[in-house]
Formats: sequence, C-alpha cells, structure tokens
Amino acid sequence: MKSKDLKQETIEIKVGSEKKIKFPIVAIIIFALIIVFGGSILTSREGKTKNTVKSSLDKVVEKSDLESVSFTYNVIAKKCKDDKNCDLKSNDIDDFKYVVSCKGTITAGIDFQNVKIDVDENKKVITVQIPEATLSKTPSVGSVKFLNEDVSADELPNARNLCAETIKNKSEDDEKLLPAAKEQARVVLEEFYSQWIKAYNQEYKVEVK
Amino acid sequence: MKKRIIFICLITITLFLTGCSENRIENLSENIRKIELTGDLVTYEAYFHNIIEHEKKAGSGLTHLLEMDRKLFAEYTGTIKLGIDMSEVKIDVNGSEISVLIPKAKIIGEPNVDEDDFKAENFIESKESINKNPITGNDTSAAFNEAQKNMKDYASSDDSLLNIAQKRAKVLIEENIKQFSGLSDGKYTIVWEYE
Repeated sequence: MKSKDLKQETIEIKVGSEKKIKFPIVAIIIFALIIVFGGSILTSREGKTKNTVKSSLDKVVEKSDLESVSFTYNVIAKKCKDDKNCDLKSNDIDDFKYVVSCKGTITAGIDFQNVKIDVDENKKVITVQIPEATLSKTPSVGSVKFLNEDVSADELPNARNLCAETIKNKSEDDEKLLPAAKEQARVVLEEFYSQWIKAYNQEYKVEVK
Repeated sequence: MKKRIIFICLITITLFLTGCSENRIENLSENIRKIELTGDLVTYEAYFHNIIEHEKKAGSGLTHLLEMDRKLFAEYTGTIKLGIDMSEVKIDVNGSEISVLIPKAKIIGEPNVDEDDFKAENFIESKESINKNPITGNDTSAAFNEAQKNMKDYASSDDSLLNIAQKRAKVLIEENIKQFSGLSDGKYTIVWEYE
C-alpha cells in the first residue's frame, strides 16, 4: 500500500514538474506565434482594407469623371509694338500694338493610378492621398476680342496664336490652378467615403488629402 | 424516415430564407427613409480665371470737365461651389424598385473671388483724356462686385458644369442608398430621373 502511494506521489511530482517546465515553453511558443502571425494578420487586414478602398475609389473616380477637369481660363494678352523694347507689365493700352481679351479652356488631370492609400489599424484611420494635378492638354482658345480700337482684322490669326501662348504660359505659372483641380476631386471623395465607411466599418475614419 | 426528415428540414430552411428575403425587401422602404435629405451637397468646385471689363463713366461737374468714359480691364481668379439641394431629392420605394429624382445642380454659397486681383495697378486702362478720369477705390470695389456677379451668372448658365455636378450627386446618392438599403447590389434596382 505504501509503495503504491509512493509511486503515485512520484508520478504527481513528475507531472507537476513537467507542467512547470512546459508552461514557459508554451508561453514562448504562443508569444512567438503572436509575433510571427499577429503581424501578418494585421498586415493582411491592412492589405484587405487597402484593396477594398482602392476598388471603391476606382469605381467612384470612373463614375464621377474625377480624372480630368476643364476650367475656364480667360486671359488678357498684350502684343508689343517693339519686341526688343517692351514692358509687358505696363497697364497703358497705348503702349502696345494691341491688347486682346482671350477666352480659353484648360484641362487638368489627376492620375489616380498614383493614389496612395494608408491604413493605420491601431488608430483606425484610412488616408487617401490624392496625387497632385497636372495640366494635361494643350489649352484651347475660344473667341478673341481686341480691347483697343482700330486694330486691323488681319491681325486676328496672330492674335489667336498670342492668346494660345499667353493662356499656356499663364496657366503654367498659376499657383492656384492645380490645387483647385485637386480640391474639386477631394470634395467628392470626402463625401463619398463619409458614406462608404458606414457600411465598411464605422470604427474607421477616412481622411482624403 | 430519414429522407422525410431531410426533406422537411430543406423545406423549412427554404421557407425561412424566403421569409427573410421578403422581410428585407419590406424593410427597404424603411431603411431608405433613414437617408438624410437635408442641406446642400457640394459636388464640384469650379475654378475660374476670368476677365472683368468695367466701364468707368466720366464724372459730372466742373472738375470733371473733358473727362472721357473709360474702360478698365483686369484678370481675376476665383472658385465657386456647385451641387444640389438634398431636400429636393425625391426617393420612392416600390417593392425592390427605388425611384430617385435628382434636382438640377445649382450654385452653393457665394463665389470666392480673390480681392487681391482688384488692386488699381492690375487694371489695364483705355485711352485717357486731357482731364484724367483716374481709377479710384470705388471703381475697384465696383469691379470686384461685378466680377462676383459675372462669375455667378457664368457658372449658373454653364450646362456642362451643372451636368457634372448633377452626375456626381447621383454617384454620391447611389452610395447612400447602397449603405442604407441593407441589401446587396442586384437585390434592388434604381430608376434615375433628372430634373
């Protein structure tokens, strides 16, 4: 009887000591698994969110024509009397051969292939970074009108060329134009994602920049 | 016996699922009613680079003797917002069909014209007379007001701009319906009407 008890005790001790040994091993294994797979789960969740945002973005961009935008771009163009001695900053109409009012249109584009989507799973923030807009086409010239009197109608073709050149130069130097082209897309996307997120996951916040 | 039980189970599941689906369609009208149809929905922000042609009349009285009417020209820039009034959107649900009427797009708020473009030195002036009819602060502010009005008139009569704004409103409302319907795509149809 005594020897049986002794045997049982021995077994219990063994089991107990194995438990003691196994516990840290199991903990380490779990910890390692969390590190290895936890990160990849988070990464894959980020990837899934990114893909979902991207596919919804592609649809809304296509449906809303966000990739290109046309703006009215009317300018005043000045033709010098003497190209070598001419102050284009002068505001006296008589300092020029003619001054012409040009109606024009310019097109700016946003390449949504270069959109950047970042997902912060901890803060639950999705950031959609719209690329900068660029001028995408040659400006088109509409009607032209001489602002000074007594200009020969023969000058009209030259005036149109001057208009095209002036619209191009001024639009390229216009610091407000391209941010405005981006803004018109941002307004739509912000409104779109404020609705979209309700179905996707209300815990998230979408920032469109 | 076993076959009978399976058959009964299948029938029960089918009836249950059918019931659920009908129930969801019934809820469609209620869900769609949750869409907030108030306020303005901005869908387009147009940028304008434009020209103002302002006429400055010759003054009257002895000090303005021999003055001439003069024309002043200046370039200016500004933005203007377009969109729709959501309270004018009409949504009707009939079974699984949703009819939506989108109102015509309009200007939202006031145009944002850059005041710096209206400095006296930015104006190109037409010929002057012996008695100069110079640009004053009143002229530049009158030109500014005129520019704002012109921009508003121009935008509100530009059909292509208004159509884009309306089309974008449709995309956003479609997303609203999708979120609130509680149904997946294809379970309902939307019939669009445009004012």
